[in-house]
Amino acid sequence: MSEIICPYCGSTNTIDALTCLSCNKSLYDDVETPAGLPQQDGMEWLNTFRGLESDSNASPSTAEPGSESADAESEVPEWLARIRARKVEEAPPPEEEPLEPDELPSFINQDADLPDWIKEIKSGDIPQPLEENTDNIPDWLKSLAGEDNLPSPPAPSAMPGISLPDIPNDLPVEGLDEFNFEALTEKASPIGPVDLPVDTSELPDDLFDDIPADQPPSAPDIDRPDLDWLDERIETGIPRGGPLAQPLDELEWLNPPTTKQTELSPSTEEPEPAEPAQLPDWMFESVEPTADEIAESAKFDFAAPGSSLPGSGDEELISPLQEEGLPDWLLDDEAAPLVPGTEYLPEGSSDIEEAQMPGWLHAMRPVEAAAPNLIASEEENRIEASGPLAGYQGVLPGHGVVTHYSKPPVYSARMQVTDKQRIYATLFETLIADETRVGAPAAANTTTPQLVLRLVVGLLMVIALLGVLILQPGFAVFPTLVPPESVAFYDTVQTLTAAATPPRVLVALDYDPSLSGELRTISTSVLEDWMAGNSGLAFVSISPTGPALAAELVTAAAVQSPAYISAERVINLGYLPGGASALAALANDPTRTAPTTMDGLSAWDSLLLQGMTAVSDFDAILLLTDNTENSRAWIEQVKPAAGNAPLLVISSAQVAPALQPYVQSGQITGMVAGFMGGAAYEQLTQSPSGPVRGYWDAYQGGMLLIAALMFIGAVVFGIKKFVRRNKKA
Amino acid sequence: MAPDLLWTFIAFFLTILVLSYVMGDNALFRLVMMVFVGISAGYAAVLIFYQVLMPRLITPLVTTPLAANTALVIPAVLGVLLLFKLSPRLSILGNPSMALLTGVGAAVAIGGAVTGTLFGQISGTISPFELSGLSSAGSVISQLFGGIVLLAGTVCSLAYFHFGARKKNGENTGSQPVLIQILARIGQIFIAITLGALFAGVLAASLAALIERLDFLINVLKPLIS
Amino acid sequence: MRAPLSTAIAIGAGIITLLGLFIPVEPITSLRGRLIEWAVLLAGVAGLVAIVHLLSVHWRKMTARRNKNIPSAFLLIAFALTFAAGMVLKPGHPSMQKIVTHIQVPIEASLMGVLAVTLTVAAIRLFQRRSGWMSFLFAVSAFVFLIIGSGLLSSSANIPVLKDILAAVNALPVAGARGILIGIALGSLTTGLRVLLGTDRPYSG
Repeated sequence: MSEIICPYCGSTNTIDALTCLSCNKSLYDDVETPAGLPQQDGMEWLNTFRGLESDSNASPSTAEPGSESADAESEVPEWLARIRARKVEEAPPPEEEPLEPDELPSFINQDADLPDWIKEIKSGDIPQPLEENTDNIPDWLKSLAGEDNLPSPPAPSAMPGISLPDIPNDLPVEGLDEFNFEALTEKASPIGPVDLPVDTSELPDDLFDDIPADQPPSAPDIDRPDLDWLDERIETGIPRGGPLAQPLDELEWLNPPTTKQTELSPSTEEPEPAEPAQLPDWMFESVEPTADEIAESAKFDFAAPGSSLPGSGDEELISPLQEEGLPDWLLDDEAAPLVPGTEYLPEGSSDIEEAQMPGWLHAMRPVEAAAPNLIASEEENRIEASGPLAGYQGVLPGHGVVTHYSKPPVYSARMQVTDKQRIYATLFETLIADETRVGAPAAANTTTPQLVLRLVVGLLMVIALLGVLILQPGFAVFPTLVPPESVAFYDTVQTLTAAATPPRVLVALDYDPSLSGELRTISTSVLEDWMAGNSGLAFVSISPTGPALAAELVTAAAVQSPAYISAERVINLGYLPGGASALAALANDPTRTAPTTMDGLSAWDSLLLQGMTAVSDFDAILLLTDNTENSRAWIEQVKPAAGNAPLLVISSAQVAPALQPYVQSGQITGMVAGFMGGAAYEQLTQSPSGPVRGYWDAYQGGMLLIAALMFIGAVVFGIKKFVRRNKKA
Repeated sequence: MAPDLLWTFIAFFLTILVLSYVMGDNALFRLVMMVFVGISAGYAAVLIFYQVLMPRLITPLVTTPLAANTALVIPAVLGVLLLFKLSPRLSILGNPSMALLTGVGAAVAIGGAVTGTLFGQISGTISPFELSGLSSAGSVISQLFGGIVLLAGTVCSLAYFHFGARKKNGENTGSQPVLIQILARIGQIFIAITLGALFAGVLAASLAALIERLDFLINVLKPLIS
Repeated sequence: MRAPLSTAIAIGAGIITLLGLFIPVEPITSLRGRLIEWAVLLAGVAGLVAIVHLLSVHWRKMTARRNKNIPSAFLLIAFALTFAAGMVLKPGHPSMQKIVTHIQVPIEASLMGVLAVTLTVAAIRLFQRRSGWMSFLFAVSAFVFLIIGSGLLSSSANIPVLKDILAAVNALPVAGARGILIGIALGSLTTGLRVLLGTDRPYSG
């Protein structure tokens, strides 16, 4: 059973009591309370409306009614004083019978001055009984009504405002028992009678009798403040383009969380938007909050969270699925626009003339501007259960304002899609699924085993090679069968170095640092032999790193030839850009092509190259190469210009097969290729401690290991494939 | 720390970082690659400046009278025009320089291909059939057989790279002549053998590089451990 | 005609160079030598242009508003340090040579070592990926030349026929390689002639 707390003594009274049983004062005669509030501080004024957590803090009037009212008298504005005066005259006597829930208030009988829609209410045209009206009531409102079985129904966010629009549907004429009034009034009753800003008993008269249609709102009539106050509620409660201007199913997120969670289902199950025809025209009376209101709202503590809420502003109430954020194909649809706006504009919006709020009241009531939409729509669902406003919906704000602002709103992530859109989406999903289905299994099947295989093979090779290099087991026998090109190479070197005059050799160093390990190892023995014959070595390169590698090679080879004076017998002609063109230029005129040494000295004036003008003046050309292309360029461009000078090649193993035709054709006089050729050369020179010999165990072991792994892989995978093919067959 | 030792440690850590790629791609590896490219480019730029431009273009133009080096004005101008290739809008100004490079390069390639490879290899292909210097019949047969194999292999390999189609009534039939098809099939065998030999050669070269790097690591660590 | 000046330069320079090779008479020979010399100079400038372009690309990547490539900064820093040191010390300085021998060589040689592992894995998986007689022949050839290249057979000089067998086997790739080399030469010839005839104009881009 609902109770009413006396604003003077705090004792509880039955809901139908008009006077307090304890102090015998009128339960609704509390004009002093709002008047006593400091008007410049809207927050405190609002706190009284909210009915904050404890009764002691609910409102100043509840805590210290006497003193507050006495102090507040001096601060009562003139208009309020006149209201009071009029209230005293027109207030119903205390012994007036309590309002029956099934009958309209007596003031509705004053037909003469009532607006049309109130007359309709009286005549029973529009304010249909609740039973009849249930079909037209939106589902969200039905759910509100059916929440009496919830364990703790959330209090609707109260906010002063939109009381008038909901009057017809919510009048407690019939079927009122369907509402859980206990649940509603438990929260509403403690604040309802206490926190009324004006004498609510007087409200109907002011509202229904004294609204002059054409009177300027600023006229300081005694009744105007009340009217303005209500007008302001209308004005701020239903913003233009706000909740009522949109399909009501888009506003579900504005409902209390419990009701909303129950409706988180596919969009097709959402409640149907209320048909505009089923709602009275005045419900679409939407007036935007003014800029002043918005500015004033910043003074409130809860303004910040409220301002961040999507429903706190008109533009934020628009569905998150804005048209500009959607692809064209999604927009290309005959479905209703997601931002209806104009569609829901009330047809009869001009039935009631827009009220205008005076500035002073504007300053007093900034709450609506802070979060007008959210609170207004919440307020719509709250029905006063006691007092003269019993049955009115959303007249008084409740403490739900505080409680509900603590939680951020949850956006609905659902899209309202049509069949056409769904077809497009399905098609798109299918396309993506096909793509992913093709790629994923292949990656899963190949990548991981390949990584593991590479890791295993890598570790195996590294460990095996490290073991052999460290232990030097000496299991590998040096080759005794020497390739003929290596023999030719050796013979040429021996012939030239054995000559009376030391030979001058053009050394073309054209290998990259990547294979410098292999080529330096092979070449060292050869260079040692050249140095042993006191040969003059002129290095040139068409690779940028060639000059530096040449210097390193000479340094390495000179260690075994202490008698050899590198500074005199070695000259570094440096780098020649241009590839084959540079070699053609070198073959044409080496003195102009490579005029200086790496140190910037004139090369062809040096003791070593003195008198030389052509490539053919060299006794031999030694090519160190790891590249087929460069080798071919040397053979094609320089060799024809070299005359009888032999072309000797020290090559990496990787180009040896490609150079064999030149060896066979005689364009290359002799060749040492790879570690195998180096070993053969060292075998021919009978060098006991050649560089290749030190690596021979590791090299032969590594080659055999690779061959074995290759054989195993071929057998395993070949058998697998054979078995698989047989199975398929 | 001696500079040589510092350089050695730099080489040591770079080797370790790059070899870590065996375990999979990693950020340090990519970083090393970037540093490597930057250093290579820097070194090449210095080398080009000091080895090519300075001694052969800038120094002669600066130190000697222009009348004595009129021939260098043209490459200097062309070189400046080549710099416009850096600008997408003005790159057309570099076209004459590129044209000279391309024309000379094409001529050099033609000359080299003809005199160096075509003449040389054709001569090398027929040289086994020169039997005058051979003394015994066995060696003659052996050389002759070798020459035939070599000639057949060369011709068949070339046939494998022949992509022309047969014409019938002035239109392409889309198929090669039968003789070319047979030769190409035989040539395929030789190509496969050659590619197998090249693959083995690349494996041998890379194995040699791996061995040399591991030996370097051992040589760096050996004094530290002992 | 597109780029007539460039085309004329390319054709003229190419024909003079070619004539100087086959008809060694003055002044064609000296003109040929001059043209080739210019080409080498321009190749050097082109190398610098390529380096500057590389740097500009990495500078853009580094300073991009989105997806900044931070490693490009290391490239630019490495270039700047190397270039500055090289301009001061000159490329013949031992420290500059150590940049090659102690930075470039370890990195590139190690990459080559990694390639050994990668190629071995590829060889193991050869028959998983491909089949057919060409693959089989390739695998057999690679296997045989791995064995030959290891020197295992070369150390058995006392086996009578081994030397002849090895010589015959070693001669087999020569035929294929010669075919490839002649094919490359013919390709170079064709491409060069197309440039000299003005059919291909790769310089007019």
